[in-house]
Amino acid sequence: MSLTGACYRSIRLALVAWMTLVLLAAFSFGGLLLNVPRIPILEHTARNLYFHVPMWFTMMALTAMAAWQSFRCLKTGDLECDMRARAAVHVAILFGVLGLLTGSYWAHYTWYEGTDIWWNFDPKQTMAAVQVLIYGAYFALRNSLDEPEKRARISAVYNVFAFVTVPFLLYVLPRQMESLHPGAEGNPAFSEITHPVMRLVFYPAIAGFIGVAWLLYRQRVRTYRLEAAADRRGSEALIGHMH
Amino acid sequence: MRRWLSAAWALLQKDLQLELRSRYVVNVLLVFVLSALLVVALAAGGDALDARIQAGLLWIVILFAAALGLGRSFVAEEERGTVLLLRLNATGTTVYAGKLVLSFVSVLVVNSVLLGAFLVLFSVEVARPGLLMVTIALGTLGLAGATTLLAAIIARTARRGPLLPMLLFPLLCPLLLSAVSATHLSLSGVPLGTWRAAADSLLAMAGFTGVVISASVLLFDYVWHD
Amino acid sequence: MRAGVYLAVAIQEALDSVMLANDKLFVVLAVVLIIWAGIVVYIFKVDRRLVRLEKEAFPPKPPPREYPKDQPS
Repeated sequence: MSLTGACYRSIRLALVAWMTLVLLAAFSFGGLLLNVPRIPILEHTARNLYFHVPMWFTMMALTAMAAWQSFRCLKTGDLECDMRARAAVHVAILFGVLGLLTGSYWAHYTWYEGTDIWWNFDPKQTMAAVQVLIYGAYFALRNSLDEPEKRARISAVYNVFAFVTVPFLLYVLPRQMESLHPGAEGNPAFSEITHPVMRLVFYPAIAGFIGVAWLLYRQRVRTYRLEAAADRRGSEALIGHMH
Repeated sequence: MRRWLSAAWALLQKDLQLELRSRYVVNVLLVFVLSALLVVALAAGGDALDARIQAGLLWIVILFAAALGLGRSFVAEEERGTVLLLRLNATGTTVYAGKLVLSFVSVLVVNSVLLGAFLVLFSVEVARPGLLMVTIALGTLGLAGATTLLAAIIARTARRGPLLPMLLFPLLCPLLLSAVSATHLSLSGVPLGTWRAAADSLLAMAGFTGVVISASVLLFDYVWHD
Repeated sequence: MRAGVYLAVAIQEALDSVMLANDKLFVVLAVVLIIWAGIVVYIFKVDRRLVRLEKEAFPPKPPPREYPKDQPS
């Protein structure tokens, strides 16, 4: 799949417009349009549903993409797939960190209001941090491998292996533990506490953030391609010099 | 299938013989585990610890011991120079199975000694010994399953030093959490049906172990062959 | 030293009062700004690297040499 520059730029423009609309819709309050139902502790911060939660959806999409590209890399040995997996993991870490920061900030002013707590080892929060660490280790592993083909293969194995353990981290365990997040033990599931009106913004916000992540991913893949080409030129020049 | 089994068995026998001759892994791990327990006991200052904290400490010691001892299994082959022969003569899955069983057995031996020392040193009363044993065995299997693939991965890298704990600890978090909560239940017990209360954790551990081992079997060939 | 502690406490309190006012609307603003800043910093960092790499990969062509016209070739 290759895109021309013009096509890429028009998608980018459409995404900017889309995200602007999402932002406007998210903040259109007090009026008739999309008034968010008030919940006591949350108050207006219920709107963070449009920003904090899509971070995790985006991260999941990116890690699934990375695992798929790693799988393809194992099957075909194609270094292009390795670059794509690497780019997807890199952007996934960005969204994971943003999700952690926003979640911690949100919780400080709602769940932990009136305390000094910023981080309380809520299971979902901790598991998300662990997931970011797992993908950080992916880059540490890459750095300790020098030969490109071997690096692609070994890190692809680790990436697929990491991806199959993620469901335990994000879905099995948090449901068995006490948590303040929806869907945990004793808490109502997400669909039961969310007003239908909020979905009108929530789903477009997820789509928009995944689109933004796709742009960042393409940009990253392009740098990796250019770097690989530069490396190739460098080694060719070296060989030419030696002859 | 029979040939596969006999090949895996032969590999396991070879590794067991080497291990029994040098007792490297088991000896190092035993010394490590006992000294770690002593340090923990000293740090606790003789205070009686909560059952939950006891369970957590036990599993942290097990995790560190596994990260120390099991990382050797493939690096040793490379150092002895036997890795090429093995690669030529055995398929990936047999090697994986042999190493998995070896890791499982050696960690299980170490863990039983550790458990005995732990029960004596901290004067722990166990409400459900059966549950405790099942938890330790299941946790050890999951630990060995994940560590075997990761050990094969780091044997292929250039700078091996601290890499295994870095890859292993985050990946094993789910297993560790379930194991700690099941161990906690087995130590303290619940009035109505401790086993039923621990079923969730045991199922999560069994699921994790199954997923990790089947993924390792599928992925091992890519690490093993060039 | 003590003045620093007082200042930190004062800033913390001021921040808290702003964040909790207006039914916590500013918390949403802060969350949006965190995400915005994260994405923008990332874009610019990657973009700088991309520009450098592209300059290396496609160096600008030297301007064509101009020969004086009146000389016979």
